[in-house]
Amino acid sequence: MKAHDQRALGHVELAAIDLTITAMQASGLRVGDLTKDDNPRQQWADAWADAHHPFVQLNERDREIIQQIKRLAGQLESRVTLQKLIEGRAQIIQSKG
Amino acid sequence: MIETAPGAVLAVLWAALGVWFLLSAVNQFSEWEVARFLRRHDRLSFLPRWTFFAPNPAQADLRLLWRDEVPGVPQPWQEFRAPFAPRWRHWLFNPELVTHKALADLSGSLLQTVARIGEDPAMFSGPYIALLAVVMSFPAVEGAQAREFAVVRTSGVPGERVMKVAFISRPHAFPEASADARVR
Repeated sequence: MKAHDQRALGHVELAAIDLTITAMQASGLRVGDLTKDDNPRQQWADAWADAHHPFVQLNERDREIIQQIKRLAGQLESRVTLQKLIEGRAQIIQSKG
Repeated sequence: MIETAPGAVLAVLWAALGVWFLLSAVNQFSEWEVARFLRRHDRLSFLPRWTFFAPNPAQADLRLLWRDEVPGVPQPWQEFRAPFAPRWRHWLFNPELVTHKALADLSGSLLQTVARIGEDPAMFSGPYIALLAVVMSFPAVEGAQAREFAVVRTSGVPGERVMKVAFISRPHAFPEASADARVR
């Protein structure tokens, strides 16, 4: 059985993706909004996590850090540069220590 | 020097391998509490877990796409294509696979992170930053001010290929200093 195909996406396929994304962005939808019902992303992510090892169990400190990350994410400018993201990540990692 | 009977060494070896085998077998049942316990404490990943092909084989590929934005005009999406090894040697020597594996793992990890903590906080995650660094390293079209990337899942064969957009990043501005250097 050959479930995968490694050939590049064709022009028509790229155009179809473009249309999908454009339509989503025009209507203010995010990927998560489209997949709420069956949520294949969540299923896929769970399967991936399961295959690649350990169970992630968040403790109180982890939850605090996630809250901090969310606060920081809320302060980002809309077109944040890669450099700013790296600096933000460094700040988070330093505060963890 | 203490002499050890070969029989005793063999017995210890058999016992160690036997325990390892049993624990590895238990580790295949992710829903078991004892398996969770083992994996929590298996910091060095001594216990393997085989789920590449069964019972839930991977049925989709993850592809990385990106596009530039010239003010007000989004450019067409392009797919990042890492090279594949030629057929005559890919079964023996295939360093090109590392890039594909890295992209698949980064994309998978990104989707996992987004599912757990949401899209905006995920921007600080290693996978997001790594994928963004990959796409930002490509030459840009003239006048481009920002770039975004997407992860698309595909399955099936061309003509019948099913595509699902799994993730779209925010647009990210190019640093001003590199404006001249990045034009292709």
